[in-house]
Amino acid sequence: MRERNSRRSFLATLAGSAAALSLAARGEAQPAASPAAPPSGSASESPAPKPPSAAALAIAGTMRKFDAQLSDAEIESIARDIDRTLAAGAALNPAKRRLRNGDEPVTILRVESR
Amino acid sequence: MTPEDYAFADIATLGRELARKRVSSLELTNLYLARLERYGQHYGAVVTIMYERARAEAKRADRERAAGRVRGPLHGIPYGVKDLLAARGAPTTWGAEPFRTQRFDEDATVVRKLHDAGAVLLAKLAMVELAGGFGYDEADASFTGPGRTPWNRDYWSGGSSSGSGAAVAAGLVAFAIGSETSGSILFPATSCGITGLRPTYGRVSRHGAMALCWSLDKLGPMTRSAADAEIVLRTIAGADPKDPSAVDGPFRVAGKRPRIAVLAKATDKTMPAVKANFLAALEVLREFCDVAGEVELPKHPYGAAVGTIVRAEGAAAFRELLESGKARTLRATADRTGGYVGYATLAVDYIDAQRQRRFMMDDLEKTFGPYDAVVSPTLRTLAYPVGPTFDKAYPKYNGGVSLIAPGNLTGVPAIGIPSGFGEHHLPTGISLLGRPFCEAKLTQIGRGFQARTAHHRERPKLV
Repeated sequence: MRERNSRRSFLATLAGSAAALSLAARGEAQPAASPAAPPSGSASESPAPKPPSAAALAIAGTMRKFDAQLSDAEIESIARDIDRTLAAGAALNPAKRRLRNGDEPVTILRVESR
Repeated sequence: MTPEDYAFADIATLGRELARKRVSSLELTNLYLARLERYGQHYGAVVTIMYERARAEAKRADRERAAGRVRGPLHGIPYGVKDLLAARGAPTTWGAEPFRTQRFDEDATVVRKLHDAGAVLLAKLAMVELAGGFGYDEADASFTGPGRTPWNRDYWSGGSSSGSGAAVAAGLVAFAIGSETSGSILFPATSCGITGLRPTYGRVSRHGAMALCWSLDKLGPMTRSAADAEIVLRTIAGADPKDPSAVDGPFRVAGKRPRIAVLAKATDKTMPAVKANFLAALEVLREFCDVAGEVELPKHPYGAAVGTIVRAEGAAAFRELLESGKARTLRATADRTGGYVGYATLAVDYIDAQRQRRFMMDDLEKTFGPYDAVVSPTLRTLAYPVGPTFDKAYPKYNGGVSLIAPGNLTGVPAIGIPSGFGEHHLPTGISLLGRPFCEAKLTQIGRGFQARTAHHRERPKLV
């Protein structure tokens, strides 16, 4: 648990610094965007979406290197979803049922003689 | 039989009519081509109609039949494929603007197998762009526009195999091939009131199919009946050196009285019509199955796992698209940015999601293993309206228990069959989840259900 938390914290710290620099440099406000829901309808509408974390905003901002047209609203939407994804990630190795060292992932690898 | 009777006939009936020479494959093909032309775009169901190839394959089927060669139950039967399957003679667009002129110079293994079985490829059918991997949240998520259920054009056909569902339901093809990563066969099968069969992971080769998520993608039949689904599945199943995940699995059948369990809390948070039709369906199942009590879905982070895996594998599968900035040209607003969320997935989260799948598989086998199938409503709601984002369509019914993510994560098969109709004459459906390589048990139960009900024989009034 400690290792995973520290990895996340490290990422957040690193990204947070980058975000602070990036936002300060641009000096722009981030408008709110409504959250997306999967087709099977598992999310409920939130009246006032929480602003994304600085870490997620920084990561989202880096996507402008691929699409320079990403608007601030789009960056914020990506950032909010990154936050949601990171939160969901915590559920994948929950404290109540911690994955052990030997728990292997499902993989497909076929080794052929050549 | 009238032309409309032919358009809505099942595979066995069409086969019988062809054998008795009451109709030729070319006549059937021309009938379906005309219907595809007339209704295909109206329901957002079709991308490319393959006139030349279809007529050539139909003529070949007729020639062979005249010479006494019949390749099998699909000989001369016209069908369509979701436009993520490569087929010579047409673009393979993946439902997405950036790929609308893409062509492959070979047939996907499934298309080749159907060709070898004598079936006639009519059309490439519409789909949600990139099979929905970037998190679309509205019906209008394909460069061909929203798919519409033939039961009511104001409502979505479901996704991502939208066109496959709508085309079968509207009698534009005799059967179709769809794909499912997490719900993309069962969802549109339900919204369109048809039968959908999601095979065991590895049962059907995916060579020549667009990859969204290697560890979850499956191809399967979308048909008028459970009997049809089994015919098609047996034709397309099997190992393929071009797809390492594809294997030759057994086709296990159930005993005379299949044993079925009911998913606990399955009707919580379902619309009244869905619940009423599900309870009525259970009564029908009791006529020929031993329906045991309720079983609880083992607790696991299904939603987090499937979301993480689809996002990460999807971003890798479409990395070039994302890095080119062309995701901006996708139709749905959410799809223009959703891929970048996947791009930022932590590798450790992806690996942990794959580690969780082993526990899910073990627990599902322990819980569901004593039964031939576990039954639940496929969807909690009727088809979504075209227009609003999904979260605004039926907010009262968000959440609840579903077998779609657990079934896909564990790679087990499921069949979706129509269970009746609700408001606005929109269809409802039930799903039966089976054990690995037990699709034939599911179609056996489906056949028993459909022998006692007529929902699957109803025809929509096309406008």
